Amino acid sequence: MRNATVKKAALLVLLIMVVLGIAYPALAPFHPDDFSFPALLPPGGKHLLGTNKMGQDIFSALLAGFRVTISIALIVSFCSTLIGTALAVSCAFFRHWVDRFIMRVTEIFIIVPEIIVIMLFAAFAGPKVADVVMVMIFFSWSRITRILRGKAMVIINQDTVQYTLLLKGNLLDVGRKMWPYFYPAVTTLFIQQCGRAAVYEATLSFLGIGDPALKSWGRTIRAALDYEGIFWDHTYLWWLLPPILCLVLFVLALALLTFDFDEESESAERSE
Amino acid sequence: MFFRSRPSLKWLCTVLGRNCMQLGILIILGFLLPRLIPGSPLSFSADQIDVLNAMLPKETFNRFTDYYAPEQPLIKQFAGYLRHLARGDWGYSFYYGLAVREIVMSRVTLTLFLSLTSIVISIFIAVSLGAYLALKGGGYLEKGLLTLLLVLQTIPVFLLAILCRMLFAHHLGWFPAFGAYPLVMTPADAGFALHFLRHAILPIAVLILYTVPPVAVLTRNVVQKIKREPYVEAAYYFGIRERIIWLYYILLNSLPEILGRLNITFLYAIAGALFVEIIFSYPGMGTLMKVAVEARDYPLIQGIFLVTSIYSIAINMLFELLSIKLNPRLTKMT
Repeated sequence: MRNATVKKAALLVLLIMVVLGIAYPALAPFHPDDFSFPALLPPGGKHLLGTNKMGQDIFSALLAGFRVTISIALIVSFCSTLIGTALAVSCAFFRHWVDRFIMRVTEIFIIVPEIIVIMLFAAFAGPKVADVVMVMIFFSWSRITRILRGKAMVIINQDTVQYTLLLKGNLLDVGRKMWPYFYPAVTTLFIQQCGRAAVYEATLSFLGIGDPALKSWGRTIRAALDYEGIFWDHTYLWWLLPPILCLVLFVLALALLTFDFDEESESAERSE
Repeated sequence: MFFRSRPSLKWLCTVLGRNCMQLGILIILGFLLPRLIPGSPLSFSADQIDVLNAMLPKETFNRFTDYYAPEQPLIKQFAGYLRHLARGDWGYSFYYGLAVREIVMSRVTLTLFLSLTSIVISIFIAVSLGAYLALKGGGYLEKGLLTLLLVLQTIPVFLLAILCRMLFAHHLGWFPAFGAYPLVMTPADAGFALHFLRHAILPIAVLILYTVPPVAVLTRNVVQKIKREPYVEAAYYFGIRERIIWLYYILLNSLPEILGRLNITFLYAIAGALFVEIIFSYPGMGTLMKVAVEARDYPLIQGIFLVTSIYSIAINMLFELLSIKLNPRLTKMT
């Protein structure tokens, strides 16, 4: 009961955020790149959250962040989940050396924290968003493959899948037959991966990697931190805090969607 | 006795072998990837290298071409790369114009200090918190704690650091906001240790906040599983004191599984230490990494990558060995 309420609330928050992301050009009072205002205005009047050091409206940048951050998260998550799932199914389908090879490769990715490797290569991949997105995808699929491979090994023994194998179905046929058993796990991983991608993007922006003109929340945070006075006057209250709260809310809503509060009762049932 | 010790020796060798292999693969990756990724100075063609020549001071550029010898065939480059690594020569930083090894080595101590201290404190807090949640769970306080852990788990570590710095250093003014010690002091001054500790409290606290949630949730899940084992129930029937059951029957038996799955969490803690350092301008490897990334200082980034990898593998191995020590049964598996 409580679980369902939390999930509904999380879904509602996410829905609102997506709508804000889609409708942002209509909602934003100014263009986020417009620097024709006085710099460092406190909130109030025309500027809901004041202006930054360059004289840009912070509220508009925050709204733009909904679109930029959420779409990066969706793209990275979709592609890495697709690759990860395909490889996990391949592991179960081909077995033998294909399986062993894919597992060895994923093991390497575990040892060094993803974010450091992403950073290492994103630093050189050029400042274009597409490059950074590619690097994030390249270093994200391994986690999904690792988790889904175990599931795939079990699911392939289901009767319907085994029939397909008997009829000499190819990888695609088997994948399609496995999907009904597979999709709950895949969906959960996709949602988790969205959150991770949003965090990666913010972390990379924070390190100054990627397109400096991009209006993601991470960029706004970074710009705020670059202003020397951020902690000394009260600027951080309306410049630094709002993008942080938006990002945390987004990631938290995603996490709540997949987290199981009633785990205890559920696992108790399972053990009986 | 001899019979018992033999399989564990064999397993020790497997663990060592696997970790060495991982190190080897990382070293090969460290060689290959920068040559494949467009935009890295090592993937430049002959006419692009002139751009680099124009960008860098003459001396640095010569050192760079001497060290990497980009005009030679790949196999020769790889041999040179291995030779340099074996000699502990990691090239020269573009930005500082100094040997990468010296720069990295001068910074690594503070990072080790931050991450190891926080890892040790986190284990104690997280395991006792997780066990408490599993053994006493069900009330509002426990549910609230669990939710808090979940919230903390989702916040990226650098945001956590910013929030803590905002609240405790600037708003409340309890702790110094940046650095490892006052810049005017040297280690010889009186009271240096006290200032050093005061500067370290906030970064370490952030790292603990970052590391505790996943470990506590993990502990809770494992303890909850062990709690329902038949031998625990049997112990209750025998009327053994509850505290003894908790400590010796449940917690001690959960430790191997917890430790076995902890290593990945601590690999993240290492990365976390780097980000926390950046926020608090703590002069360790993290701040160095930020400078290196901003200056696109390739040799320095590679040096940091290698040191972090070696540190991660070492921690990984330490935990594997610890879990064997605690649970000799593991040697029979795999």
